[in-house]
Amino acid sequence: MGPLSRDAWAQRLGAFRASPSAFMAGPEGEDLGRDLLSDLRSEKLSEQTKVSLLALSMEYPAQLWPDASAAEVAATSLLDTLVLLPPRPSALRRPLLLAATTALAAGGALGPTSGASCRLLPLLLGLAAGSDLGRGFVPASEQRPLQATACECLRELESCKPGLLGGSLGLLRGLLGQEGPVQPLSLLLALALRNTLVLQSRVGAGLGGLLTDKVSPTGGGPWDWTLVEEGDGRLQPQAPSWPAAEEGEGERSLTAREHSPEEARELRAAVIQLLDTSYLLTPVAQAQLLWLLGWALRGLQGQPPALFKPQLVRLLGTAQLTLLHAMLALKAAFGEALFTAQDEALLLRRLTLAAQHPALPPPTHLFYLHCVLSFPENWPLGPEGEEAAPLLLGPQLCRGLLPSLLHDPMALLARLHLLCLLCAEEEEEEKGQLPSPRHYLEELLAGLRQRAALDGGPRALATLCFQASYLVACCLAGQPTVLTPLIHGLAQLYQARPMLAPHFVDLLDQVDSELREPLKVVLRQVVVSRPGRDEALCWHLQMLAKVADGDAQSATLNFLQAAAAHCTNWDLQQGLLRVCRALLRAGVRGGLVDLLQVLARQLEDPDGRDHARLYYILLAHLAAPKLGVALGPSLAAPALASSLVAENQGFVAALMVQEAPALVRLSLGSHRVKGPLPVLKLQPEALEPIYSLELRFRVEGQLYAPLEAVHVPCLCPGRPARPLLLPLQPRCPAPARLDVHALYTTSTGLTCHAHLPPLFVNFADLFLPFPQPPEGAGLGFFEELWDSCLPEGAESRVWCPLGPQGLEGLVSRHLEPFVVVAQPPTSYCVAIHLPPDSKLLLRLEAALADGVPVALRTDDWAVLPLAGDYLRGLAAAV
Amino acid sequence: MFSAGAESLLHQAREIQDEELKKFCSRICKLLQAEDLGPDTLDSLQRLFLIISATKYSRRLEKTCVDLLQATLGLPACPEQLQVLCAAILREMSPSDSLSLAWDHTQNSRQLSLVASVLLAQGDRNEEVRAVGQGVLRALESRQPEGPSLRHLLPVMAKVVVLSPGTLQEDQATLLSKRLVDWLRYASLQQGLPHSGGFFSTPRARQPGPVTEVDGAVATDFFTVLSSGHRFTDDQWLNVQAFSMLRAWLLHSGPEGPGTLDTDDRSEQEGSTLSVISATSSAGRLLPPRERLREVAFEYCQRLIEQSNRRALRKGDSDLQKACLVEAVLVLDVLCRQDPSFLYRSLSCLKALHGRVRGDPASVRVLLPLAHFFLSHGEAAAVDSEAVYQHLFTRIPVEQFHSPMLAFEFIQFCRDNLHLFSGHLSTLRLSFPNLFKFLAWNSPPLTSEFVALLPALVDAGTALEMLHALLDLPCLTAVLDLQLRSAPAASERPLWDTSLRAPSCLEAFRDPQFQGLFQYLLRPKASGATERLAPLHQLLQPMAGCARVAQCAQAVPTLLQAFFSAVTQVADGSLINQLALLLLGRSDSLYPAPGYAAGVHSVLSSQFLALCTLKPSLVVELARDLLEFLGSVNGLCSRASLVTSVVWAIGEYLSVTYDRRCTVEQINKFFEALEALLFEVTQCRPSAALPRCPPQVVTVLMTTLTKLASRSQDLIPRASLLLSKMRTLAHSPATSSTHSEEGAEAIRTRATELLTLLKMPSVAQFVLTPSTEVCSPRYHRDANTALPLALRTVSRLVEREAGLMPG
Repeated sequence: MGPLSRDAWAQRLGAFRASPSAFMAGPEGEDLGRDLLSDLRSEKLSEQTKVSLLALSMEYPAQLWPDASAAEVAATSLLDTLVLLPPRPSALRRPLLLAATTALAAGGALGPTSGASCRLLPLLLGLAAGSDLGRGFVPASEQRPLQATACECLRELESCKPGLLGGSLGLLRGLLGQEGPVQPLSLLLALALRNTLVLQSRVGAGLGGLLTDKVSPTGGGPWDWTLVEEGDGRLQPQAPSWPAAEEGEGERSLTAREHSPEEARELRAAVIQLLDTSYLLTPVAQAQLLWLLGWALRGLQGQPPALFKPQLVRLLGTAQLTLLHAMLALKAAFGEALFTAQDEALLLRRLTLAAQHPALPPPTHLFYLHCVLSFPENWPLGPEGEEAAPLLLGPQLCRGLLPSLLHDPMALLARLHLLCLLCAEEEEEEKGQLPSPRHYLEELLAGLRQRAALDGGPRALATLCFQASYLVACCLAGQPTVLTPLIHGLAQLYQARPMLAPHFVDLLDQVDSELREPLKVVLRQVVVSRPGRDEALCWHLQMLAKVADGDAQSATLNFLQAAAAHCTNWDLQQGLLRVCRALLRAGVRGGLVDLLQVLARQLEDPDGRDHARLYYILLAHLAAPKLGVALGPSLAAPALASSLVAENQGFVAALMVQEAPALVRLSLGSHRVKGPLPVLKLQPEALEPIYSLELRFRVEGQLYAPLEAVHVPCLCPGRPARPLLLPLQPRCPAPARLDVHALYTTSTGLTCHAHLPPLFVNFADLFLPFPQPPEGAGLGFFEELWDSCLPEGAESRVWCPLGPQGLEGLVSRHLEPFVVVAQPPTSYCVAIHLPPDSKLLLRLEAALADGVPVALRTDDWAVLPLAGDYLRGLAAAV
Repeated sequence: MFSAGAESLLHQAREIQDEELKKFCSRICKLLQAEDLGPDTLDSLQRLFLIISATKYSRRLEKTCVDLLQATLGLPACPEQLQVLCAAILREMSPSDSLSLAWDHTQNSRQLSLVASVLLAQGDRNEEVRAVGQGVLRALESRQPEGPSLRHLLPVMAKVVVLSPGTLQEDQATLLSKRLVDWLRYASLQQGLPHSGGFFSTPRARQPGPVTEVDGAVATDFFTVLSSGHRFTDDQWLNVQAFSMLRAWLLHSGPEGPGTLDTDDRSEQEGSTLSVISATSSAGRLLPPRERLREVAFEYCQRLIEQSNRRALRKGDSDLQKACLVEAVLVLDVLCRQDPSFLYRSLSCLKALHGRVRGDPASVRVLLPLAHFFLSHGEAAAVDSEAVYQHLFTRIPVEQFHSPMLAFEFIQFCRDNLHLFSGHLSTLRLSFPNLFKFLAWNSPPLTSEFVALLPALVDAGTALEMLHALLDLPCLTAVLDLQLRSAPAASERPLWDTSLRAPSCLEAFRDPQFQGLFQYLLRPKASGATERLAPLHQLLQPMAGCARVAQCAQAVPTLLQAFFSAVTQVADGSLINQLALLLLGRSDSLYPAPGYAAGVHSVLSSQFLALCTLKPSLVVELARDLLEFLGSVNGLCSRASLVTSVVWAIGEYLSVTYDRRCTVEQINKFFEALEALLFEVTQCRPSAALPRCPPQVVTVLMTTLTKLASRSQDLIPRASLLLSKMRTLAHSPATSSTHSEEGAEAIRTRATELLTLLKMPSVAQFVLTPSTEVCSPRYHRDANTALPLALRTVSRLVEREAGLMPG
């Protein structure tokens, strides 16, 4: 494919810039790099186009040449293009140099094995030195710009591979003295010096003659890569910042070796040389230089920081932010060695006053506040990393820096941070005449919350409030006097505006447990205390899913129960189930099972119902550890419980039937006289919920046929149970005692066995009536029975004392069902059937004042004394 | 119904704030306190009445105001108009605790009747009804010289009788009956005198002539409601009022009322000779008062029927004729019920009446009481009244569906007489398409009536057709509208939405190509066949904005609920299958009225589940159709609720526990179909044109797939893969545009849970196919049945650290 036209390239570059990765993934992507390189040599394209092509290659080297080999090829090609340029002024030389450098650096191809590197480095060094490379390579007019560019390129390469220029230090130092671009050279030298110092001291070597050796390394054959290999590329801070990361290691290694006086003198001379010319540099470059030198010299023995003193005089009055920052960096590095207390006070005053300047743009304002907040002190107190306000920053100074609701959010937060630091210090200070910072802080937070609670207020206000709360929680985590009102204030905020729930959830996720746990409790109370239909139900549920745990179960469950009725759509139902899930994971059982069952039956949406049922079944059937596994992978898998084999007291207990105190009471109900057999009516009553109750009865003395056991599925205290009917099959008509045993399961799953107090079957309990004779035939029927008794039976007369109720009352009370013939109030004929096949006939006649004579007959002798006792006892019986 | 002006007045009245009303009341109070009974007061009271009656029950007046109103009502000097207003306001405010109207102090009977009306509106809390009744009776008994008093009191009496039937004692009732006889039968036949106009009235006032019939002829027989004249005397007024209360009184003093003794007496007198001859000849004899009243009432009704034959000169009179006919037939019905001897005397005349009326569309409302008469007495009279019903059910709805009054009466007639229809229920059932016309046109007032009527109409034979008809009800409304619009101008145009013009629809209505479909929709009787009306839905789309159609569409979900609760009582297995199929099939062919589809879908989905609960094997039997339904993915998102239900039912009931015929192949087939559906649902890019797929469809699909996998374990790896894909998908930002954050989280949670469950296949199988008793309330409580308790005990045994239960 021939070279593309200018327009074609413009189109292509436009497409590329719109979405580089998409373009590279597309069909044209492969050829782009190749075409670009080849077209750089094309005659048809103007220089302008070529410059734009080169700009592209500088901006997107990683996309164009993704691996080292491609980068190598590209750099070689670029260098060839450079060499082939005709010896006349051209705008392409500098871009070409830069592009080649970029390709090598970004592609990771820089190294001793790379041909391109070995060509580029000497070329750059030569150009930087301003020496003529022959063949009219550089037109005179381009000499200086190229020199500067070469320096930039070298600096780039040096910062990629620290130590690369270690051998050229002398040469560079020499150049600085001569005519030439000061700024690039100064920066390059400072960087190389810094890197060399650090690397040399790490390996324990001195500078040697590096600073004085003015011979170009290119002259003596291949490039010297030894320092680079030692450095191993680990020394790569890219931006001027507090050199905290490297500090520990750097300091140790820097002090490891002392320089010889010779070396020290040379070094000092070099540094002074650099500093002396530094005023010529732009402020940013100056800051960079100071930072590099500061780091290079920090902790280096024999190199007093007093070297910087002359510069400080200039710097203390600077209005340039970068220079101010550089100075603070020097202060952080050298502390009291360089700065007196007066300096420090002056700096602080400058900072605080500058931070209050009304006309400052917000970023500058924030910068000053940041400087105040992390002010490097001469004598840092307290452990590393602990935040504290600067010591010399008195309350007087701070007064102007207190936050107010009118500040813009970032400034407010920064000032709030300072305020928090002041509050943290406040404890040891006595109460001043000024309102205490803590009080101020509380008012401010309350104001923020008030603004956040405004209905329909912008979200930014709420966000600010939560940011401030978070900040306070972080800074003052250990202070309950601050946290308690904060928590309550937040709870009120939630109450006022539940739609902030997502913010709360976020805050809970972020803060430490010192705030989180109490805040959770309070929020849960707020949510749970307002059950029922609410616009904010979805927020409440979202909140509850976050804060619900094992505590205050019943209130939470009640809330959910009330909410369930209003969860009509799927989203709300899912919210509800999310809360249930949180409870499940917190290990709540009890009422939750009931709730889930209700949900599984009542929710409207089939999916919600199904999901509730799934939770219900899981909760009902799985033991806690397994439930944890089933609900989510985050809980650790339980260790397999292998105690089946272990001897275990409880294990035995659970499998055995245990003797227990009786939890059931039985009472005899009223007598029942229907049916062919006498039936006892028993009224059971439980003291605790019991299940599968089996009552076994044993008759003493074989008087009755063996009795069936009675089963009751479930008995609960306070719930009336149905009476139990126990039919008796007497073998002879006699009272008896029944032994009662109960066997049941408790609600905890144990099987128990208990002796109940014995039951007494009375003589009267066995009475059964004869079938009712037809109307009017009663007397004849009775006479027939009366007569049938005698030959083998017995007859007797008994005096039955009458109580206050008289004969009528007595009969109606005790003998009513058995009366065959009645002539009230004087005469009654009573016929009683006694199972299995005996009868007892009574004639009560002519009652006197205190008793009635009873004539009785029976066909069973044995009954006679029982009947006598019965009759005599009637009056006493109520 | 109201003119725009009246409408705006009502609006104003309703929007008056309490503050304003309070001020207004205090002004009225001032006026009343000053006993200013001039036009100002009149105007203010009129306004107050408007406000009070326009905002029913929500306004309360202050006690002082109420007291003043009462006082004004009691003022002897108060003009009548003010009194009427005061009474009306007090009636509107009832029941009121602070009422202290004294019944005894009022002298004027006019005033008495007003006070009585207020008292009777109180709801008989302090036995007011009885007191008022006795008071009126005293007035009646006192035989005051002449009637203005009675004229006002008789309506009060009528009301008392209805409100509290036991008020009157025997002799009082007899007295009233006697007087009713007098009033009914012996009103004068001369017109009343005009009011004497005072001093300046001309003495040359025309001599009052005799009363006339409606056609202008001089009255030949006794005076009735239908006699006309310029001015009525008081006894004529009483005649009219007596007729008004006649039916209520007859019912009150009927054989089952306090008058039982009388009938017994009479039957003893006449023995069992209930022959036609004896019945006709009994008129002249002296009868007990109640008997006499019946006799007179019968004569009165017959005279009315005869009078209604005459051609009325004025339109008002002709309306009156019809109304009186209705009442007369009803009275006759009551008479015949109380005393069968009237039956034979009235039959011939009623038959003639029916013959006369059936051809006259104007007097169609008379047909209903007539039909009721024949329905209740047809058997006794051995008359074949089939023709009456045929005419009633086939012709009337077709022609008169747009008359709101008739529609309401017609449906109430059906509802009230369901118990009488026993033999003719099939006629009623088969004519449901006709009844639905009433419903379609007048859906708001008739919905509740139909909910009560549907259980009787639903029948296994016509259930499917009826379901179709219910779903097409809004369409039917639209077609009825078209029918009316295209009909030649009727004398009285029914109300329709004049703002809506749909010429294309009208053309389509006349297009012979669609005649068949329109005829089908307008069929008078159930035809047994069903036709796809989808073309009509498209055609009639412009009518969907019509207010009537929208109202009808709102009523349909309620009716569907009622229909299903009725049909599930009679449905057998195959009908359930057919119903389920119909549900699925019709879900995407509904009339496009706004909001209609959503409402219907929610009912259909819950009913589909109800059908599945009734017959779980439905899922296996209809497997092919269900698969087909799930395959047609277009429009799935709009039917989300139905899809959710169907998918859930598949997961729940496609299992061997419910149907032994369920095979692994079937499960696999469903799994594949649902898997494809899930992919289709989640992979489609969000676009403005397509509705978003709700997250519950995704979650229910995932759950169902997991359930199926737990039953056919070969599918577990596939299901796991699918679930983990869904989980990552829910994390990706692409989904967040499709689902809300909560939705995405729900999907994620569900996928995670199901994934972990599938890792424990034994648990999954148990948990995802629970036995039916799981949902019984005692499941986890009862130690006898509770698997949970047993499991918990075992797990406690197995865990050492759980510290076993206390010994």
